[in-house]
Amino acid sequence: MSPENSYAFDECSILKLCKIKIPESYRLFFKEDSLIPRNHYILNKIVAALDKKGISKYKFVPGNFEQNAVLHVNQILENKRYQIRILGESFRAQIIDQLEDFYDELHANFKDLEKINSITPIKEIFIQNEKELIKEKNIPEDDDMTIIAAYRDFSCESKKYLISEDEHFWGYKDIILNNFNIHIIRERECEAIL
Amino acid sequence: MILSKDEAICLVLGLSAKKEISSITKLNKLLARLNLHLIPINLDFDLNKFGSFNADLKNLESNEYYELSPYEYKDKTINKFILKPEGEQLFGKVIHSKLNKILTEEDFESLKNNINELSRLPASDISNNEHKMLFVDAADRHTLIQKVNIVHVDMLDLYEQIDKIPSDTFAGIRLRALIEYCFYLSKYLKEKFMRLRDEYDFDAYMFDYYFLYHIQSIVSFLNQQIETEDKDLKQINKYYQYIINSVKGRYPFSLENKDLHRLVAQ
Repeated sequence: MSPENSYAFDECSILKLCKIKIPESYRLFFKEDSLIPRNHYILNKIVAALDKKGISKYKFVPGNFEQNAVLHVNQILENKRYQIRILGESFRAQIIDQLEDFYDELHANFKDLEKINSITPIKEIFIQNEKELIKEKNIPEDDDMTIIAAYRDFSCESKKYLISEDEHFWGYKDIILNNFNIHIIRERECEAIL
Repeated sequence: MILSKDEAICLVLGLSAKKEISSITKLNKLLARLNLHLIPINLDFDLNKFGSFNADLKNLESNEYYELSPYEYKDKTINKFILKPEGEQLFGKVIHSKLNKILTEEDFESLKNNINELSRLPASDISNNEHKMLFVDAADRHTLIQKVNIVHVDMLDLYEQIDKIPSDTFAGIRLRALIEYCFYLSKYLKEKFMRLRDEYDFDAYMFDYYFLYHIQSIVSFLNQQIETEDKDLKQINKYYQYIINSVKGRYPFSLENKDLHRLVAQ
């Protein structure tokens, strides 16, 4: 981990930094008093290490906070262990509230990188090098490419890291590194950059 | 989203004439009035025969945001409340970071005009109509019961349509939550009001009456929002924040009450 490198996070990974407090009335349906997203601890460890060394963290704007937050909540509630027997809609909304509060406070802690909408050459590279992905559609979304365009053009003295669990990024990590000089790091592997 | 006590006091002071309030009684009434504008504040109110009140407010002292300035009135020493510059800053911050999420410009204008106008009246004139509006008095008991029955049936109709609302946006998620919560809250209020005896409700808790009042007032809005694709996020958020989040841990029907499941099941 070096100040000469840059460290950016995709929005879904940023949302996993938020530990969800379970309201008292729902505690009887859970064994815990909070919901901890997958890879929460390792992501927090990276953020804490960056903060300790005074190294800037980056996120991409404009984000898709609403869409990503809804997706994040759905992933949390898909867990079959959770049997919420009262006011399930209110529980979902309470998680959204907490994510929104968390995201509002987070702005000051991350620097912004403006997404770049001109993506035609990037798209061609992905089309020429199309891969069979496991969960996602083979070709990354346009929004993913605006992130790559922004980070590609960002000036950095040494290595550029993008932390993401999106298969559109890690599924193409070699292509992205060779063509755009961006190191994709999956959440579960990000201890490697400590 | 909820305003702390100091934030709420700075808000009413900031909106009042000359940015001051002439007595604790008037401050009490203006703070209670925020509930009519669905602004969640971290202050509990009871109802007595003179309207909503919070007994703890009488212990307020000057702080960094406002000062108490004594003056003589009819042989009594009374404290007036004056907003300090730090309070004005807090007032601006509250509007920018909190009220902005729940109030439209028109809502805010209405709040501003209302508080400013009331701040010029004697305290005794401010909450004269509160009991009438909320049907707290024993003479209105029959109307109160009728009202809670109607509201509960209306909410049942809405609750049965909840699956029409997609939950892929914040507006949709909060609208579904609001309808579900109001349905069960109206059921709770129905059980509670049915048990009231004929005399004045001496244990009257302001939120019981205000929640019923507000749920009734939003039924047509909820109906309209179920049907429209273009949901009004700010308005939904205003009702959601007030009805679901304003009383966390301070009211029996609250998501922070560990025994809520018993109230839902009753």
